[in-house]
Amino acid sequence: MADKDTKSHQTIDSLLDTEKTFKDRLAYFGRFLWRDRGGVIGLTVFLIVVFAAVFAPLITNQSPFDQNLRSSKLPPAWKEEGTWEHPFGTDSLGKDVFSRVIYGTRVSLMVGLFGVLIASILGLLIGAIAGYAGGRLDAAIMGGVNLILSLPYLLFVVFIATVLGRSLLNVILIFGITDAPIFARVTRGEVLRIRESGYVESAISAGARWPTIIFDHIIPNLLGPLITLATFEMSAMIFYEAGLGFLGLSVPPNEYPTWGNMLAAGRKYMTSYPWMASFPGLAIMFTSLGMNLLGDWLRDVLDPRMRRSRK
Amino acid sequence: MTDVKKLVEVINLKKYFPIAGGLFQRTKRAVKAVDGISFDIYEGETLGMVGESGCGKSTAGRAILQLHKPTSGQVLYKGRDLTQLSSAELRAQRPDMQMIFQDPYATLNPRHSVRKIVGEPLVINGKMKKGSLELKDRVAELLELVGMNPAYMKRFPHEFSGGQRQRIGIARVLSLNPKFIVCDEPISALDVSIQAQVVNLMQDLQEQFGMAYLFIAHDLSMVKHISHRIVVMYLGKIMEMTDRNTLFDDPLHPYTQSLNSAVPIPNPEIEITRTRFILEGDPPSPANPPSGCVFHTRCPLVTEECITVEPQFREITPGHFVACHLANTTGGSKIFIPDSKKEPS
Repeated sequence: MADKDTKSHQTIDSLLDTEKTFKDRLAYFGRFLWRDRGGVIGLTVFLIVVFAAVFAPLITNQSPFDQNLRSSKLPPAWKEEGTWEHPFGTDSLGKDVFSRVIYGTRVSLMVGLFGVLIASILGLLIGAIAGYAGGRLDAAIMGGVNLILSLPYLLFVVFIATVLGRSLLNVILIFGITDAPIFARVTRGEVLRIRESGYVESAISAGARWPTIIFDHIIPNLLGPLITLATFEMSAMIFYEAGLGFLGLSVPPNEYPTWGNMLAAGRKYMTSYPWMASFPGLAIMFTSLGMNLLGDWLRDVLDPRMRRSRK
Repeated sequence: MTDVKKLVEVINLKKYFPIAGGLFQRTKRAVKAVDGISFDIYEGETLGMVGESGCGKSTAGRAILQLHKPTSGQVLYKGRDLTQLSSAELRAQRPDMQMIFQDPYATLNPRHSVRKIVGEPLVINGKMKKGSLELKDRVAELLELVGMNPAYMKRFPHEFSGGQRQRIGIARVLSLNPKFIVCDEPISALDVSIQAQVVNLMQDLQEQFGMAYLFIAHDLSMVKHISHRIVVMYLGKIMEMTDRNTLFDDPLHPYTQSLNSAVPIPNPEIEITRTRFILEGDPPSPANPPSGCVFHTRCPLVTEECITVEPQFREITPGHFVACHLANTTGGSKIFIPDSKKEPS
């Protein structure tokens, strides 16, 4: 009898909602990942870059700084004169291009990661205050933010870089500060939208206090767009860092090998020794592409509305 | 209605929204969304509230629940003036007075599961612990009460249709056992077939738990179906208030008569032969309401007095309140002479 009872409750819907085991969840996650090939590629590229940055000394035994004029301008390994000692060849001073590309991920990732961290925290605070306070404070803050956004970005960055001098910390600070307005704008818009939303009003009418509203309603709905923005901005920062390096305003080349510096150094030899600039260029391209794909995918993963409806 | 206790008394409630303008955001004028309304709601009754879009129905509902701070006036809940309570005292009072919202798509947090949405009021008010088995059982019970499968509690709002979402919203509201629920056009976003389901559900729940509804709508036939008494609003003021049958059989205010005239009768023979009075034009702006009677710009019976003097909201017969100079027991405010199919000359 009891058996019959439970059976009658087993509608199609309740079958869908049965308790999932860890294995089921893993399989579901795998299927979800597989459906979005771009996301898989993005995640793979990102993991490769992180791996390269962390385990650089294990991947290559060549030092990125050692100069050797006798083996300078060597072509990549698959060319006739190339050797597997220098898989991507050497530059004009005989430094190993492969190890420089590998070690270059460290600067790129650090600038991207910490730059975005500073920018997002600053932007989140400024934008949340502007959006929540409203009125004149909002107008004043957003006026300042728009002023910064209206300045020519590169000019601004070049100016600060010149004044502050060249160091890794300065580069991170420059990107952190100049990128904060974008985060502030997105945060403010989202806070305004969520604050006026029906579910916040519904929570207030149920007797919710402000911590509940902020932590249960505003922040979870804010996080998705911000994380997505963060991945895109990270890729943009890696890009801009290379640009600064190319202009000679990023990290000094004797401290860290960076892709931008390599591009700048290889530019002169582009016609005769193209590998010097091509490999760091390709590294920048793949990292940016990977991060953008990852961002696209994260946006969908973080939104419950997209979980089941995605084709 | 004399033997039934008053649950909510609304006394001369006003809600003005300032219109800020100019360089320094000075307040120049105000939109008089709700402009001095008074009525009582008795325990266990449904008070319908009808009116055109923008006449202040929703604002009135929110001002009563103190979701909008009223500009002036009083709202007495069991004799306590809600407008004078501190925010902590008000929060303590909130579980008793809940609101069902108009848009079931916007009022459920898209990142919360149904279980969290329905259980949230209980957690907020410290009645049950987050994630406790007790809470889960209560949520299941509430979902069953509104006719939904308790297994749905793991799902998210986007997986449901409008009617189902409205049921989830109702389950959420019921979790606190409220005595008074403001229903802000709870069915206007739903399909007609679903509307009936939701309204019947609300009626069943009222029979079961005995709460009072303030049912805001612009669909007259639905209001007639569910309400015991009905309030007719126009431009932030109450035009007429009486019990449901009187309002439809013997309306005294010209505006109510025109509203009645707009309701289709599901009998083609009557529908063809009856005389209808359809209002022309749009209601005036609540930022700049007309002098005297706010309805005089569209009233077919307008007199000199209507333009200059604001009519009092007075009791013509017991329980029948009208704000019209012409209203009296002999039918002076009737657009059509009763029992006559002829147009007035």
